[in-house]
Amino acid sequence: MIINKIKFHNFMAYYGEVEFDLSIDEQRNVTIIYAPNDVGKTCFFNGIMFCLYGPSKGTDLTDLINKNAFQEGKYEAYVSIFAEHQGNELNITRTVKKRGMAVGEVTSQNLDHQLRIWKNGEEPWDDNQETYDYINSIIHKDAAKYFFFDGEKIETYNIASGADYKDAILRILGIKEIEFAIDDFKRLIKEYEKERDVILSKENEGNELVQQKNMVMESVESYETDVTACDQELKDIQARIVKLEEQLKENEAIKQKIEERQKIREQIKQLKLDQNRIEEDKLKLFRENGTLILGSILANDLKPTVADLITEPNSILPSRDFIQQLLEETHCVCGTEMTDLLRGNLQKTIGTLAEKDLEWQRKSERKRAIQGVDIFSNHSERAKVAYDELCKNKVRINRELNELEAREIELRSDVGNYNEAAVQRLAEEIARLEEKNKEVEKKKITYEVNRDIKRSELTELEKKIAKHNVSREKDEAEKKLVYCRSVYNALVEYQDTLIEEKRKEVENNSSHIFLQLTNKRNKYKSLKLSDTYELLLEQSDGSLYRIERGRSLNPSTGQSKIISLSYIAGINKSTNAVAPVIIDNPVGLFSEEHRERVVSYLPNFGKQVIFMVTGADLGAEYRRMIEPYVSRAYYLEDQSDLTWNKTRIARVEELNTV
Amino acid sequence: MSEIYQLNEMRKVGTKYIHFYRRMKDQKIIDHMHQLFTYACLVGVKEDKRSEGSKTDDICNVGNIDKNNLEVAKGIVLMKCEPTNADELLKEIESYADGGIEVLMRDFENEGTIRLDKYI
Repeated sequence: MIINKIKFHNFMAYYGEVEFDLSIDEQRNVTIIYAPNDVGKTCFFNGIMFCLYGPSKGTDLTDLINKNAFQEGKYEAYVSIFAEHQGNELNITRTVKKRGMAVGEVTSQNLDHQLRIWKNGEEPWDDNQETYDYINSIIHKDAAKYFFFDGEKIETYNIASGADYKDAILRILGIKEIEFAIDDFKRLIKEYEKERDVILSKENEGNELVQQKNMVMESVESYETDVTACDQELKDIQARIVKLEEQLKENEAIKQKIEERQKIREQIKQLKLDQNRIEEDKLKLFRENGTLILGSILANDLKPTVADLITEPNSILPSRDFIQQLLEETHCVCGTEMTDLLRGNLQKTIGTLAEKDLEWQRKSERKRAIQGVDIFSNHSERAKVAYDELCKNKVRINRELNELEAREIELRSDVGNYNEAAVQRLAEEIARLEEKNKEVEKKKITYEVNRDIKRSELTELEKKIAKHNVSREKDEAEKKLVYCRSVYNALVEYQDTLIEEKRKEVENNSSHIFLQLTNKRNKYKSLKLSDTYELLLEQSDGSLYRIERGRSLNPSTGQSKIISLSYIAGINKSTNAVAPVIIDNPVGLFSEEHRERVVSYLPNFGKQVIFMVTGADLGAEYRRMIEPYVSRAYYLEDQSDLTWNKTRIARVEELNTV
Repeated sequence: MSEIYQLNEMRKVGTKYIHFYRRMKDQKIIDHMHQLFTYACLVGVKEDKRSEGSKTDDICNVGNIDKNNLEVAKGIVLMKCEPTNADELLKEIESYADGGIEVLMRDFENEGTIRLDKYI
C-alpha cells in the first residue's frame, strides 16, 4: 500500500480540514512533518492507526474530536486515507459521530465510529468484519507496530519474546496465510475422517476400529496438550532462574568482598601476632645483649679519649714486686749476699715506692678493663645486626598492617547491607527451580513418549481402517482423506522451510543494517535470530548475548533503539508486502553519531517513509543530508491561543521536482 | 697483689629510682634489675649524665650482676674517669646508672615506653 493523501477533519489537534499530500516517486520517497512539541505530530500518527484499526481500548471517543470544534457544537471527526494497493485506488475513512439521533449532552456513550472503504470508487463491503479483514490483509493489526511506530519507545522491541518475533515474521512475510491454509486443511482432514468414520461405523468391525481410533486420538490430543503445558512451564522456570541468577550475581560480588574482608582480618591477626613476636624477640635481645651492644658502641666512641693509655707499652713488673722477690733471695742480683741490713734497707725502699706502684697498678688495671670491652665486640656486632633485622621486620609488618587495615575499612563500606539470609534464599530457590525443571523435563519426555506411542497406534489403526474391506463409498472417502493429508503435509513442510528461510533472511538483513547504524562495530559482530526466534547480539568475541529486561549488561538506550530499528528495517526488507513506514520522531534520544547514521538510512526503510519530528531534533545539517530524498516537508502550527489546539499546516515545501 | 678495681661481690648496688626499676620489671621489659642497671649506666655515659646524692635503695649484690655486662660497664666507666679504688669505681658506676635512669624515665614519660633503638 502507498498512501497518496491523508485528510484530517476536526481530528484531535487538527482543526477543520487538514490535508497532507504524501505522493512520492522513485527518487523522493520521504515526507517530513515538522512540528514543535504538543502541536500534532503524534496526532498524525494516532490518526492513521485510528483510521485503519479503530480507537484503542479504553479511548474516550470525545477525545478524538478537536476540542475547539466540539465546543462549537461540531460532533463529527474523521480521518481519510487515500492509497494505492495492488493496482487498486482505496479510500479508507473512519468517522466518529453521534449515534443515531442522539440528543442532549454529547459523551462517549452517544458517539460511535464507523469504517468505510471505497475500492476504485465503489464500496464492495457493507459488513464490518469484511472491512476489518480487508484492512488486516493489507497490514495486520498485530504487525502494524513494525510499520507504524514511535521512535522514542522503540527500544522495547528488542526485548520481546521469541514468540512475538516469530508471529511478526509470519504475519509480515505472508507466512501466516500458509498457516491459515494449514489450519483449513487440518479442519478438512477432521471433516473427512468424520465422514469416513460415519460410513465405517455402519459396520460392526469398522465401528470398533473407529471407536478405538477415536479413543487413541483423544489420548494423543491429551498428551499434546500436556507437552505444550510442559514447554510453557519450562520456559517460565528458565526465565525465573535467569532473573534470580542475575540477582545472585549481584550478591555474589558483595559476597566476594565479604570473603576478602575475612581473609584480610585473618592476615591482620597473623601480622599482629608477628608484631608481638618481634617485640618479644627485641626485648629478649635487649635483655641479653643491650649492655654489650651499647658498650661496643661507646667503646668505639670513647677510644680516642684513652688512646694514649691504650697505646702505651706495658711496663715491666713494678719495682716493689721486684724488690720483694729479691728479699727472698740469698744474694742480690749484683751478687752481694743478702744481709739483714740489706734486707732492712730494701723494706724501707719498698715503703717509699708503694704509691708509685699503686699508680702503675691502677693504670694497668684500667688499661686491661678498657681493652676487655673489645672481647665482646664481635658478639655485640652480631647481636646488633640481629636487632636491626628485627626493627626492619617490624617496619615492614607495620606497613603491611596499615595497607590491610585501610583496605578493610574500604570493604566495610562496600559490604553495607549484605543480607546473607536473603542470598541463601535466592540460592535455595534457584536450586528448587532447577530440580523442578528436571522434573518437568522428565514429565515432558514421558508425555512425548506416550504421545508417540499413541500416534503409532493411531497410524496402525488408520492403516487397518484403510484396508478395511468395504464399500466404494468408504473408498472414496478414504481417497479424499489421503489427498487432503498429502496437501496438508506438503503445506507443513513448505511452511517450515519458508519460515526458516525467512528467519535467515530477516537475520541477515537486520544484521547488515545494524552494522551500518551502530557506532560499536568493534564490539558487535551481528544480530541473530535463534531457532526459537529470540533476538540475540553476537559480540565480537563470538559469544551470544540475549537482551532481557533488567539485565545489567544490556546495551545502552541508544544502542537498543538501533537494534530495534535494524530489526524492523530487516523485516521490512524481507517482506513481499508493501506498506508505508511511519515513524513518530525517529531521531530523538540518539547521540550525534547514531543520529547521522539513522538519518542517512531513513529513506531506505521502505518504499514510502513518513516521519514526524521537531525542528530541533532534525537540525540543518541533517536536513541537508536527507533533502535529496524528501518529496514534501510540512510545517504545522497551532493557530489557537487558547487551551486546546487548532493545528493547521503553516507551510509546505515542495521538493519534488516532478 | 690484689686488684685495685676488683669489686666486692657482697657489696650492694644502690639507686634513688628503685620504683622505676620495679616498673620496668613489672612491664617485663627486663627480667632482672641488674640488666637495667648496667644498661642505664651506659646510657648515662652516652648522655654524659650523672646523678649524685645518696642511693637510698638497693638493687642487688655486685655478685648478682651478669659478669660480662659488669666488665663492659666497668671498662666504659674507666674510660671516663680514674677512681682511686673499687669503692669509688662503684660509686661512679652507680652515679652514671642513676643519670641514665633519669634519661630513660624522661623517655618513658614522653613516649610511654623505653626507646631502646634510640641508644643502640
